Amino acid sequence: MSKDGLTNTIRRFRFDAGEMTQQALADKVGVTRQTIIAIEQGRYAPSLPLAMRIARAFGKQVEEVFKLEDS
Amino acid sequence: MNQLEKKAWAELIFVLVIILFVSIPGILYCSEENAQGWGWLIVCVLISGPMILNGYLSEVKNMKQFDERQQAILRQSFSIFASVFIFYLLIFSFALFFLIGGGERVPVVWMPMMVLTGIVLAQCAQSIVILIQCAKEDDE
Repeated sequence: MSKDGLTNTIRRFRFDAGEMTQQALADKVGVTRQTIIAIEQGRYAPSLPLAMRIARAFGKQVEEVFKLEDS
Repeated sequence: MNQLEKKAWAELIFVLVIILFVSIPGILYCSEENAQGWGWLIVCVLISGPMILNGYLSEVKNMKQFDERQQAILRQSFSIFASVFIFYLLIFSFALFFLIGGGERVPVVWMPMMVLTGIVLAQCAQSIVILIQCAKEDDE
């Protein structure tokens, strides 16, 4: 979980999507692989447009990929 | 080496080369020659102005090649640059004031030297912040 309380299921969705690599997802949403790694590990909270692009890459809603934990 | 690391190294080397091998020797030469007057000031602006403008414009243009997380790192590193530069100017000017005394005089050449060495120090801090950030990511 990130310090903002944001969790995500990108890793699971990547494997569900035919073991999509981090690089493939990064190319799809227009960021670097390091950024995908940082988001997956909860070290970086993406902007809303990027979060929506990531969700769209899996054909999901943002809320299905990202969750805000109650503090 | 990713784009951020390349940028950090390129800027560090560029600033070090320009300031240590062009700006500081230029200022020292002008000081030796006791260059003064509007003519010298205009020459200085004509030489450094386009370089500074070009640097700023390429900075703005290059920003687009980085993604949002890298841009956040760059913004953070720029705030480190500004903080180090301001802190250095504060330390330098107050140290001079108290060590030499408010009523004494210092050579005017110290003023551009203070700014140029401040830029070198701030650029080192900025590049180090970026390189440390990249190294941490590589470890993870």
